[in-house]
Amino acid sequence: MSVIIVILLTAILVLFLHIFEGRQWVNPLAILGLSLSFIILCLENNSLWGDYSSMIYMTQFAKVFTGTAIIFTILVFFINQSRLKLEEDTNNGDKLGLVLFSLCGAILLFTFTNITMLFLGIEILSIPLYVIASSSKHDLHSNEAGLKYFLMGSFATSIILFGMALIFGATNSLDIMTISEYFSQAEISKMAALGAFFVGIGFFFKVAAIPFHFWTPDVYEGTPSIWATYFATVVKIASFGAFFRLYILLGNVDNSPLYKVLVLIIILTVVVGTLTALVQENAKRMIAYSSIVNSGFLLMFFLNPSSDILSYFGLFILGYGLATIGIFSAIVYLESIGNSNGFEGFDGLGRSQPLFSLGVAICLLSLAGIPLTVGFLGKFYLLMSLSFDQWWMILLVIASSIISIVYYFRIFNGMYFSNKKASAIVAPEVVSPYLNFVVGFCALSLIIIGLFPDFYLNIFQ
Amino acid sequence: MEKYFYLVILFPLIGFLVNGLLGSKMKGTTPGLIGTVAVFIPFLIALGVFFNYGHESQPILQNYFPWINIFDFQANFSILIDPLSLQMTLIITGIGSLIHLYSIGYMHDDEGFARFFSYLNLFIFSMLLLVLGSNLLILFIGWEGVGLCSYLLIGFWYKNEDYGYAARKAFVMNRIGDLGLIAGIVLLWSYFKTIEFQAMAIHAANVDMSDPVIIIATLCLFIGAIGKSAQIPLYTWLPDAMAGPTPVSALIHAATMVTAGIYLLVRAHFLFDLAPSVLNLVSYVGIATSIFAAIIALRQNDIKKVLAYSTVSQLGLMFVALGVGAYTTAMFHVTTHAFFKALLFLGAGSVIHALHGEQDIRNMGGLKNEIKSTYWVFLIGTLAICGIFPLSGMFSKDEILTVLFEKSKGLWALSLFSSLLTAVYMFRLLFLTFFGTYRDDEHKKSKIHESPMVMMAPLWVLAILSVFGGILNLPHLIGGESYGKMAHFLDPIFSHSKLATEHMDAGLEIGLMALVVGLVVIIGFVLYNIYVKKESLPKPDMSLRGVEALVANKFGVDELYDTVISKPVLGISRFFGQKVESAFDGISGFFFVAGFKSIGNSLRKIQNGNVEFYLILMTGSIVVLMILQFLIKI
Amino acid sequence: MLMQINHIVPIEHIITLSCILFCIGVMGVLLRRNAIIILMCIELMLNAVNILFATFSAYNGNPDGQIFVFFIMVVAAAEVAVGLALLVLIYRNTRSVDVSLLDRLKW
Repeated sequence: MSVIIVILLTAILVLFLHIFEGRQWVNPLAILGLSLSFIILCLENNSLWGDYSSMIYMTQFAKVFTGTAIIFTILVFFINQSRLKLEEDTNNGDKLGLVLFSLCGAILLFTFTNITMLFLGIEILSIPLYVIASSSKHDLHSNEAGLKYFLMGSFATSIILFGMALIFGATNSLDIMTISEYFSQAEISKMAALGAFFVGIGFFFKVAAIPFHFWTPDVYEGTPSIWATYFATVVKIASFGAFFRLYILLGNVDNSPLYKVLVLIIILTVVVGTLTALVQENAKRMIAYSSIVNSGFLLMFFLNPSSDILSYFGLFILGYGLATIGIFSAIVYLESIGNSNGFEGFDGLGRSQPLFSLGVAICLLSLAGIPLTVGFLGKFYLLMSLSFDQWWMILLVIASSIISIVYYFRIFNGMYFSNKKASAIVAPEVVSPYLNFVVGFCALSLIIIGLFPDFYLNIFQ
Repeated sequence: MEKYFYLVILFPLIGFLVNGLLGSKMKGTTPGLIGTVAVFIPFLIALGVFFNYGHESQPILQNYFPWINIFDFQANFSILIDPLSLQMTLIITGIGSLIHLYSIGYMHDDEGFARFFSYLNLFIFSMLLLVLGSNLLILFIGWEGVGLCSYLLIGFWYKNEDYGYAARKAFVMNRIGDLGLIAGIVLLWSYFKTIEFQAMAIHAANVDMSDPVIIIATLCLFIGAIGKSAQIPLYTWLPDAMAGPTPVSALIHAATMVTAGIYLLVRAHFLFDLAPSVLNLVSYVGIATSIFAAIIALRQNDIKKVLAYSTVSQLGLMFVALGVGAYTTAMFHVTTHAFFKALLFLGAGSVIHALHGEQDIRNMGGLKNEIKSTYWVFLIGTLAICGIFPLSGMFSKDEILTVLFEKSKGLWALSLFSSLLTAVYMFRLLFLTFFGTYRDDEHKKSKIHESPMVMMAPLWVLAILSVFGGILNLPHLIGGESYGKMAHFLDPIFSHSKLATEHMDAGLEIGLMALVVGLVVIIGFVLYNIYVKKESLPKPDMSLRGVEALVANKFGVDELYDTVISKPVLGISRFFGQKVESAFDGISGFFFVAGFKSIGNSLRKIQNGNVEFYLILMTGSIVVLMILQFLIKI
Repeated sequence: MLMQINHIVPIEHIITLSCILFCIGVMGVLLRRNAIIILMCIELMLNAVNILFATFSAYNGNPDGQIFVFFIMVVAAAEVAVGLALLVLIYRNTRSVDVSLLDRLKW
């Protein structure tokens, strides 16, 4: 568990450094600490025993997801570095500290083997986010995003807790294995079923599945873009990592207390998400709806869980995360040169910043599921994992991907086929090397892993 | 030689990367040369492999690396070199490099010169993946790549709003077809547990005729082919695709993209052979498209639009041939069509280039004295597509008609009608463009100039190919011992599909051939009378006062023709062109998006910004879900 | 171990109580517009859960539940701290804590 400890120490160090006039070192230090924790994660042998009275257990699945989350956070910090060059931020240390704390929560969500840890993980992940969402103090949008996120988030937490209490009452245990054994019985009590149902609802909220998605577009739009990147990627991964593990343990039974709900929610999420994304005028909101649709796809992996599915699930979420980070860095760049979040900002970007936009374009293609990218493979694996009598789900995925072309390609169109003169729209400002690095990293990984997926999938074994 | 075959795919990709990343820094025509060489070298390699490839050679499977390995599904990144893919590769790289060369001249002063060549190379790369892939998944990658590149190229002149729209339309239409293709792939995998063509062919030998899964799967593949090869009802993108620069049209129409659908059907012929009902459907859709597009073409006044509809019509003919199981015949027509359609498009490009962007044939005329060279190649192209003896189009079209005559007299008659319509609109195009007198003002006339050598050279090469292309697959009757070369080359693939011309009565064959050629010549003369002698012009607004016109011109036979035959046909043409086509347009794509958008617009109202409202909705959903889960038994 | 003690109150009653409390909390969240009251109602929901945990813990003789209650209390305190801070921030900027006025982000 040295990973969590290293991240925690980094966070504390960052907070102190911030106080003692070392502001310019805060961001590099955070990146350094995260890199260190990533190295430790790679070197650490799989601990076959649990830590903290067997309440945390680092499986291979948890390890890959932790690594992914750490890398995504590093990328987010790189994007943050580009901002620091342009503006003085007196609270940067606080924000980084909070993000690092919430990353600890995310790691707990991948590794928990006890309901207590699950609950703590959710809260450690969420509470800093409420603050980060409203971190732009004088921006009313940011304030509003924070309060909305907080109200809905804590409401959802209460519902998860209520479910946990019922499960505890039915099984008389907080240990996840004991609970899982209970749920694998042929007949489970009404109380346990209701408990699992409520926990499931709470997680549907956390992963932003329709009709529990309302916070997503508003929060993504209101939150400063850099942190919205974190919300859209790391938080998504964390919620899905926990939910997937939990679903395999609780819901994957013959008379699952969640199956019908799951099917209904998947359909709603994909259909409504896709249609609403089509009419968005704001790029950030569009990404928010696209993340909702992707949640729907990810939930489809839950339908036929098996040990193989874990790695395909990981691949899909990796592709989604990398592509989203790439697009968000473009949004951050556009904001830094004074463009709003509308699609117009992208007009002519392909001409003024050819290399940068090529990377962004690859990210878009991956999200749209064009072959030779991870996005395509993810969707392909998803289709393959669905069984034959779920053909209507297959149709749903394909139809949604086709419609999604229309809205992803609005950005694409703007970048390459805008009829405005490039120099007239985009100031000939250079893209910060940090942003270039992030986009390049995302685009290259999308293509390399898209070509050689085994490279990634084998880590799960 | 086979060892280095991966270079065939690699070179266009390198060309794309070099031009795409460094092109803007290069001077002059360097990107064009790089792009051309990147396609020409693969052509030479493919040619080398072709000459080594004897009749007894086994198909070569080159496995580069395992790509996807999931459950029991396996897909390798591998290519298959057999007569079919080799022939397609030769067409793509051969004609592709000519078009590249031509583009150096055509695009020389465009600001996106390097970008253009990088897209072209990517296009060739995708198309090569499509035809060389040894399994359906690689084919699908190429398929998507081709769609993406066509999007980039059609919208190349993005400053025009309509062009961007045309590009999006092409892409969305293609994606609808892709839905069919990917559904077909999933179905076939679940049925055969493999998507390698060779393995599927072996399995397919043990499958019963008209197996329901095969029928649905082939239907899905056919939907994919409809989208790519522009058949009813997904054809509307192709005429709009004229928005791109002319070399792109030539590339899309002749060498790449639209032939992908034909290729898919030929490649999967072992499946279609098992589903006769689907094959029938293929020929019906083909013949309907062919006649429909030909009728629309009669009425078009944009030089590129006429050619575009003619492509749709010719593709329809190819599908008819596929539908009756004449795969080699269809491939033969693909080849000759690639020659003369590339020639016609590039010729049209040369005309447009000479007239500084003018595309309306009503403003042309008399050009044969101004741009002689272009006139001659265009004439050759026209004669070839109309099927005048002994140009290449005649042989391939004649072969289709002969096969149809044997299989179904009804289809034969309709196809004959369609190919006669071809002659009508092509001669009309030719006469209006090159004959008569120049119809725009004199000031513009003085500026007309012949295209540079770099553009004319590819045209002449294509003209020679269009003239002698028939040699590739001569009918037994003419060729004697060396007949049917292409059919023999492709024979190992279609082990059980017979050659139509082998057991045909010689007299009947000559009769059919003469009938077709004779009719075409008559049409040529009639139209020469109408458009050159009488200099009648397509009126801006066609008035349908049929009876009145008949009375007024009762002595003129050609006017009689004009009134009794041409005018009603043109009226129908206008009806199809305007009413029916817009209906197809609506059905097959854009009304969908508009409909979805209006649904989306009402859905987004739910997100009204009020957190109270959100919470109430969420709680309400929880209650509903709870009732659904625990109280209602399904 | 807290073994079987003869409980005077049947467990169903306490479960019902906490369910009622939870529902009151939910209704409060849904119906009130003052953010502070909503915050209090969320606390009420959490307390209902606390009662539930404590009850199960006592009736099943498993102390884990009571430990869980402590965690919930700690987390609830943290949550309230953050929530109130957010409210203060909003109040400073808009002079109001009425959540129904917050609809700048929509559609």
